[in-house]
Amino acid sequence: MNVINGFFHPSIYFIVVAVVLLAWRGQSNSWRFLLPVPGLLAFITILSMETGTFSQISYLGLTLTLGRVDALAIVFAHVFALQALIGFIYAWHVQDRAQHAAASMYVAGAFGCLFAGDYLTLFIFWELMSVASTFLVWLNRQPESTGAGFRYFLFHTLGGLFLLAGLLLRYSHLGTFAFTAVDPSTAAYYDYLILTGFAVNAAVIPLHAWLPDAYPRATITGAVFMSAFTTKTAVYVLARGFSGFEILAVMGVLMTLYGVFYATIENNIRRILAYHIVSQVGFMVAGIGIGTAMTINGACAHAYAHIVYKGLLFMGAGCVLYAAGTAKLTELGGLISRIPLVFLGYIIGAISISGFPAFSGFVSKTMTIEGAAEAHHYWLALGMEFAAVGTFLSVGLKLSYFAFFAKPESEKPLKPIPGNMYLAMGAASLICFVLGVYPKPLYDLLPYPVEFEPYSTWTVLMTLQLLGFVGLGFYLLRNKLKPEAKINLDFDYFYRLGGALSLVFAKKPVEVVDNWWSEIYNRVGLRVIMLLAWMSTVFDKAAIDGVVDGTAKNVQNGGGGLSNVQTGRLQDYLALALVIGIGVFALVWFRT
Amino acid sequence: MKFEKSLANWFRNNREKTRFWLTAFYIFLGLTVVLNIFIRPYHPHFVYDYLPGFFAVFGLVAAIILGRVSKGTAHTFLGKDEDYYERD
Repeated sequence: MNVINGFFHPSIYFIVVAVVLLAWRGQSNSWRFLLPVPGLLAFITILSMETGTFSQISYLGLTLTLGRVDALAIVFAHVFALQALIGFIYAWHVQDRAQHAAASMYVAGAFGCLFAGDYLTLFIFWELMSVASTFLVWLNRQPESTGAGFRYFLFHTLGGLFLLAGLLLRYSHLGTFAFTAVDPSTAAYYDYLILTGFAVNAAVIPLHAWLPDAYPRATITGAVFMSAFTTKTAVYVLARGFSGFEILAVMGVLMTLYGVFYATIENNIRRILAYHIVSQVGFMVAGIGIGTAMTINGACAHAYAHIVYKGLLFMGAGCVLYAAGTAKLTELGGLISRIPLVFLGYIIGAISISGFPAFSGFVSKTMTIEGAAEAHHYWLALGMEFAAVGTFLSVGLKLSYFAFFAKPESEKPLKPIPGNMYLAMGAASLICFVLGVYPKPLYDLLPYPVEFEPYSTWTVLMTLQLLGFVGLGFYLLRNKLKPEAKINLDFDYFYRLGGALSLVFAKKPVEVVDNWWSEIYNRVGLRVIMLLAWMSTVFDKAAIDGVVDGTAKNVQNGGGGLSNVQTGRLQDYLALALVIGIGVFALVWFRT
Repeated sequence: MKFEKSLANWFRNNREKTRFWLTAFYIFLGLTVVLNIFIRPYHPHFVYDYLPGFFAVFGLVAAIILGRVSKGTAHTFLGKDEDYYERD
């Protein structure tokens, strides 16, 4: 079957583990030995993977391609497997099996997107990711997570609808679902619809606000997964479909600046890191938009390095939150001598992301900037250089200074941190360092041959000088940059405004119709015409109560996102949809 | 854990030596500029980056601009109380 022709879909490992975890009964904890297994197996599978097209399925007269394997897919699959392994080690201590199952399905969706050869397959896995990751937010089980999960899910559904509309219109024009590169000069409106759907997941401004809204409210371990897969899957599909689109180059650079801007003023450490994802993904989007072999290589290398060090930073922030019970910088400070190992892990992530020589950011970020300059996009290169300054200022200096150094020292009692969290951070730190000093294995994975040499006396000196003087800037501004217990408005203001407006809109007319109907009902009365009365009763029960009242109630609850009953129902519904989806996937898979 | 303890102690002791670390930092900054006089880029990207100290000025100015502008915006209209969205 599928194994024999040289391709076994890595999603299957994760789906099987998710199903086993959900079906598990009994008191023993031995299910946790399953957690590192799918990542490990996926990694081995990907190392031995051959390029080609596999697992094609005929379904309703269409051909779905589940296994298109090429260099671009492999570089992402490689790091996805690695990060899934690290993420599950980090989450080893979590008792809640539902969280692990959600994470596992989420990773399965990500792998499905990577190997999808057509838009329909891509769409199915795209939605699987969106549903599973929503659970990673909800399962944090805080009131704020419920609302954030709803906003996250609604926004991703909107993005998914753009993608769906685009791919269907594309099919009606071209007669194919094939997922191939679009030439920027001949792109039609449906291509731009698809691009918009992708841009939602890539957190391209102004469609990004779901990210800093949801990630800080996800579970500690869930955020580590989410930081890796959603945006990077979007980077992958952009690289495959839309390289060379000028608009992406410009938007990407704006993202790099926008992200560091907010990261500099935010107070919640996970929110700082979330904004900083927008900035980092901006580097990749810009690289794809410029579209030369060097910048696309840069985008892929950066995605690889980024997944590992951003995961490491989220793990560090997660440890702080786990131990201290808060992620607010205003309530932290002086943690360095209390949790020195967390500091060590975090700072390795921070100097990697800032692009210090000998760490992974240096060998990937410089490639994109250098590539932009070589393609004569000097302004874009300068913008990215500016964002690199902001990266070190916000994530490298501000966050670590106010969490680990600043006085007064936090007196909070700290919960002991489980060893598996340290282990995962250690592994990620090691990868950051090894990639930084020996980037050749990474460069060999990239889709185009690499002629770039990151290390020269000049580049090392220039980087040290740049970052050193950013440090001086921070030292001078350190009182000015003091975090404040505030939140900052962003585009989610408009989402919420839209939600509130539609709530009012739905409530008012529905109320009017309901009152109107009640009045007629009273005047006509039951005794006048028995038949009419009977019919109206039926209509009232079935239609009005069922539809109108129900709608008003649904909108009210859904919009507020606070009613637990309604939350439960939608979650049940989503879970059911997911189970059916997996069932269909399994059936289709084993038929081939 | 022994390693963790000694690491914590090392950090604790060094946090008190502000003067030493600041001096070392300034020497490091000076060194990068002095070396820059002798080591120049082969292919300058931007017009002025062949000048020694260009990236020192760029880094410092960019950091100050970013810090000032972002904090200024937060103080004027972006920053809201933490319960801003929970209020009716």
